[in-house]
Amino acid sequence: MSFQEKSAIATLGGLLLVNGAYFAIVGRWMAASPVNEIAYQPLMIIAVVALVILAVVSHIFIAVVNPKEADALDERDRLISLRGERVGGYVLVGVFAGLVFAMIEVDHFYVAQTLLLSLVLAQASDEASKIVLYRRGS
Amino acid sequence: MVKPTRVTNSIRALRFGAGEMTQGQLAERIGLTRQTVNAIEQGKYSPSLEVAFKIANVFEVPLEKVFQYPGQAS
Repeated sequence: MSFQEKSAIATLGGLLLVNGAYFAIVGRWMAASPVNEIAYQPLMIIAVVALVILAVVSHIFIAVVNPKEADALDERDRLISLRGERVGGYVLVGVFAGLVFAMIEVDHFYVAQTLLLSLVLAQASDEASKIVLYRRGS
Repeated sequence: MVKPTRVTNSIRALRFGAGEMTQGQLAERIGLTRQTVNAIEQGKYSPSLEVAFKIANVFEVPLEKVFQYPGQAS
């Protein structure tokens, strides 16, 4: 498995773990109180920072385990990366739902959650596509 | 979703003919990762024309000795 493939798996794992936890917690808060009383902001910031830290730590680990291959990138990696990003780009249209929510003045809680969810899904489908392309051939 | 390439290749045989050169050694000489050389060998990836020529140069054979395509007159 190449460095870039391991990187995609680590990034996808981190995304699902951190955001899965975030949305599970926010979901429980939604069940307990009205959305305009939920202070989601600190948790959202924590989730984003945790994701960055997790990505850095996991990439350092992957590089240390096999330093010779660390950061290796060739034409196939670049092609797979581009194709993954294109899939992610399609999924990113979900941010328009956030825009619409903002326009019709839905509570900012929903606007923020929709925007975050769209970004997460776009990134996750980007990484998942890369993994599939590495496995099945491109 | 991904259409498999119809290009076939003789890289594996050429490597063994060249003193049992490993995928890693070939990869290093043409600036690819070992995984990409493996994907090319297995027909999971069609390399760029430039990489195809580089591989042929390593084994000092014409391109058609490395890669074949159905319908090709040889």
